[in-house]
Amino acid sequence: MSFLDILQSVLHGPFGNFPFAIVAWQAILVGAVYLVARLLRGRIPKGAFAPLRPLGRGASATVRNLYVLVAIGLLLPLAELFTGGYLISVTYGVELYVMLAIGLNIVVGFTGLLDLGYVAFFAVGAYVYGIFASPQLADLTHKTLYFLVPAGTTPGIHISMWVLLPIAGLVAALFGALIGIPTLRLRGDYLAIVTLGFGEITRIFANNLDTPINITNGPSGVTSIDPIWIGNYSFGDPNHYLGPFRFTPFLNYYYLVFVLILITVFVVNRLVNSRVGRAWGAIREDETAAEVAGINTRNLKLLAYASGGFFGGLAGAVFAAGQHIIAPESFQLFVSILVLCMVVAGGMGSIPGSILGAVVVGAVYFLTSQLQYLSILIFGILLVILIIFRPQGILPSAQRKLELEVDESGLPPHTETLPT
Amino acid sequence: MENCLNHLTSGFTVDGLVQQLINGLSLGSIYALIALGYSMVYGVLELINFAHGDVFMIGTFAVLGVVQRFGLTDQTSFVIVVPALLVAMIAAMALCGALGFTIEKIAYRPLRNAPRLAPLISAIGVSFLLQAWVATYVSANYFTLPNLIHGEIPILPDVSISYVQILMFVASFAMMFLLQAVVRRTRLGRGMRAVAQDRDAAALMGVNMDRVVSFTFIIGSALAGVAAILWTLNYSFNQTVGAIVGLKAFTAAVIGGIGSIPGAMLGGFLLGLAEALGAGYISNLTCGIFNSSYQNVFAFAFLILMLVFRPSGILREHVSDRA
Amino acid sequence: MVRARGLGVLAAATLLPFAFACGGSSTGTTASTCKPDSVAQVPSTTASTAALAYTAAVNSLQSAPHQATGTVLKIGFIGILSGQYTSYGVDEQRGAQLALDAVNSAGGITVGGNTYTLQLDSQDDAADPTKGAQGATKLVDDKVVAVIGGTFSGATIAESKIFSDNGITQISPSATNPKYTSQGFKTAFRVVGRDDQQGPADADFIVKTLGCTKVGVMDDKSQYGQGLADAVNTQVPVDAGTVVDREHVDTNQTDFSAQLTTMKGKSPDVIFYGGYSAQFGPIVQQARRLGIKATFVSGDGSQDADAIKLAGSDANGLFASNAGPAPSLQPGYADFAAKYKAKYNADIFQYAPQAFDATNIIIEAIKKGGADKAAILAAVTATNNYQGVAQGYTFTSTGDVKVSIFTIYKVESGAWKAVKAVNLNVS
Repeated sequence: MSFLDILQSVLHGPFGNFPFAIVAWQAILVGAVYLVARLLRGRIPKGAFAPLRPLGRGASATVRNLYVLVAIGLLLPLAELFTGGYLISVTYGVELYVMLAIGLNIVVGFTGLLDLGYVAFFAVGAYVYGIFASPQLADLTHKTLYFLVPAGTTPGIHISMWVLLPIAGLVAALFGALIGIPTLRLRGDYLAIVTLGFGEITRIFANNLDTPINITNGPSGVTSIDPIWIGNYSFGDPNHYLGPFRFTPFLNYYYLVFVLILITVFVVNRLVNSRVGRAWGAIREDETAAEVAGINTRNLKLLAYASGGFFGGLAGAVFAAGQHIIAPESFQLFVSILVLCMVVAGGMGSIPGSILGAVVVGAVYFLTSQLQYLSILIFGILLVILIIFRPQGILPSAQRKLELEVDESGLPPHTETLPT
Repeated sequence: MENCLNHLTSGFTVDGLVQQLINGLSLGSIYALIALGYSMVYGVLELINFAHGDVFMIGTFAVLGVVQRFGLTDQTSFVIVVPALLVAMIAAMALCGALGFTIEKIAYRPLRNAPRLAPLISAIGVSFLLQAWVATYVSANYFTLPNLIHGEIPILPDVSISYVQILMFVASFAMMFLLQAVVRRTRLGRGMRAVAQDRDAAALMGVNMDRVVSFTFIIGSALAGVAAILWTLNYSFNQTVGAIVGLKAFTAAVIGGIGSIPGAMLGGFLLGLAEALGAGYISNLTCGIFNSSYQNVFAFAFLILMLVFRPSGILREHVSDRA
Repeated sequence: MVRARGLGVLAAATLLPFAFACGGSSTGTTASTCKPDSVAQVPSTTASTAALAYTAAVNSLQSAPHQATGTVLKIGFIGILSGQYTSYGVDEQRGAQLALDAVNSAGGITVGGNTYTLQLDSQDDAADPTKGAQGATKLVDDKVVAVIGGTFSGATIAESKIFSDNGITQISPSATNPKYTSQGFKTAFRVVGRDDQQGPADADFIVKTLGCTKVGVMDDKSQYGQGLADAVNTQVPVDAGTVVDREHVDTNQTDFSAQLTTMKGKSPDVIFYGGYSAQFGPIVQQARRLGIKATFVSGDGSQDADAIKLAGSDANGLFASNAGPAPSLQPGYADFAAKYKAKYNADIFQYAPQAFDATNIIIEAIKKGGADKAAILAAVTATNNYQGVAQGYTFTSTGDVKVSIFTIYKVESGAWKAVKAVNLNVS
């Protein structure tokens, strides 16, 4: 019996299948956990919940953390080579989410815009890549524009990845700016719902744009997407060897996304530590005050959406190349919410935080898939617990730590007090 | 082009239109009931209770449980069906009310002074929790109730309104009047209105914030329970029904004017109509470019347009800088 | 007053279309040739002697599995084991497991001097391509020699590349999308017909057998549903019928009144629905409430117990097609169903016989070629009229079955009864 099986039986309880019986048992469990927590409250040193300490001396904490993460990121897949392709495929999946989490962090963490429709950028990037690197537009090139196409060429448009990846990112960025325009005046919860709506609208359009002109091929999705090529090396070829080890295409894509993440982190870091980043911070704190102080909130918000969109689109494009088929069902609302969980859990406004959050949440999600809905149930509980007891996340940035940390009195440190 | 003109005119019949209107209004009455819950909670807490739709979903399963326990089929006589449904309604209302109260106490109350994002994320977590719980411990399948209430009243030669649909209208209006009475006449209702106007002042005037908020949640969730039984009488459901219907009900609340009770009703009916007419006629109006699968897009489009052009809704009552 | 505004909107909405009201009134089941009630159950036949091979396989399920010895050989299974479509995947998994049990209880497979016990390695793809790709990778890691799966076409197509890259034979018991075998992978096989064959069969049934020429087509905008509905949509005019209306719903939708009302206005005699029983049942129920009298026909996604359960009292008179011969015409079906029930205490949902047969095809290949992936692939490719529980199988060069059999079923007295068989020979 594996750990997951045991967990499942414990949660199910001994009272049979009747839902009320199960609720009763789980209520008992919750009560027991609560009692234990109260008993232990005074006895666990506060340091146990302190943020993770950076390693080493000298260089700043954030940079040190990043070095560690980079080293792990480079070497982990090679270690997994020994156990087979499955862990690599999971790591690759998690890595894509890392990129999405960093992108979403720009919008949610740095600028304070609650975006529940981030999957739309992922989808746009994936479809742009998929449509222009597959036989999808064969009808267009070989029937309508046949006079422009030399004989014998493969059907469809196939643009090389050096051109197409940035284009996918840019189209997604443009899409982000377009989504941003109607939402400029919205705040908080309303913004969340509207962005959620845009995410869903994107998926519905992807599902339906097969008539009158077949752009996205509807629910069947785009198939036979080209893998990524660098020179003669195809990333999708399963017959590459590293010494005696045959490695899966996922490994190729893993390193590609790794490079992209490095670029992303560098760019985002530069952005955040510039006037743009400080302006975003001002918007996050108090938009009205920022406006009054002379910040062009409109342009900066659009820039935030566009930047977030760019990186989301980039991730989507690689996703399309790696999976060689994409379909609207891969771009559901759940993805947006999962990425948001990662950003929140990791620490909003903190790049290492979002990386760690994505790794932790992603790993749990993929590795517990045998539990099916039960893993989502546990997610829900953890999310509630996390946001109540540690809203600043696992690896918060110093700034957010000050803002969000709840001290012993139960009040956040910046509660307004009435003048005496 | 001629095909397009054909498309444009071939779809409209009076019968069809009236039927779509009736469908839209009955769907709208359910949206209205759920929207009332969203509206009230937002008025008091300025929080979108993401999990409200899932409370509704739990209500539908409560009704299913009662109906199965009574062994009702489509042949069961009226004499047994009516009391059984009353029991189901009370069960749904009680369960939903209790659930709403618990959720508020555990997931929202600790975050009352936290930044805006926190209770929203907590609500998302609760929503996940409820859906996953039902999928794991009840079933992930779809369910329908047997035809318990038969019969309809013909309006036009080919159009009739079923008793269930009449029940939906009547129930939603009845609940609205009841709610208005509660909000206007009871102490807690006055407290609700006070907190909605100015939270700090209400606290200074001695309004017990905790009690008012709990009361709001209980009432709102109980209304979702009523919506649940009406839904199950006509449509199918599984654990995802709450998320979708909830989102649309929230849209309805925004359209009508969040914080306003008649607004929620109006928004609900308008949205129901927009969906029915949109899904029914979009293909005609756009020469077949858009088809009826775009149904959900209408709800969102309506929402976005409202929020851009008239964020406080049609019947604005709660004016907040948050909108 | 609130309601004044609402009424105003209502009034405006009501008056406007009067300007366009030139469609006629909408009642009427007028087509005189349309006789859905005339179609009746196909009489069952007795088992043919040519079907002895599977009978042996099914009968061997009788003996209690004793402790099997020998090296463990893994056969992979990938399918929908979670989510709202779990019934399909679990059913197939059980069918595959029954085939393995039969072999193991007979002492395993002995070939080339080695004895092997077969073990089923199951992965869940939840009908999601990404999850499917990961599950497929896991199966490759686990060194399975062949795979039964996936259940729905979307994930199956995503998995097919991984299995092809690794030379692992993949036989799907239920993926009906044509794309699966047209990608050119030598390892992709299926034991059922395709949507572009099932659709025309359904259209022919509606127009020619039922005699109903006014057809409304509806689908759930899923890969399977739309594919099937498109095929029907194309074939109906070819058969001299008319598609009077085409509607789409969404797989999450639970209120279909808008689409059904439009459909009703066009007065079709038959409405074809491409999609799954989770929606088909409620659609029928809501249609009857709206006063739609048309006959409903659907595809294999709806030909199961859920459709009857969800449609409730409106279930009688529904038609649906399914791949494979009717159970009464499947020589081994009754036995297989009994063994299935004995082990799992449940009825067959849909594709268990196909999964059972697919697994046995692989078992036969192992008997011929040993535990080597390439040998198994060669043997499966060369399968020649293997007689399974459901039918005989020979694979074409693309991996489809040479003889695609579809059966149309009708709900009578609360159960599906076979009413017509369609045999398609594909060269």
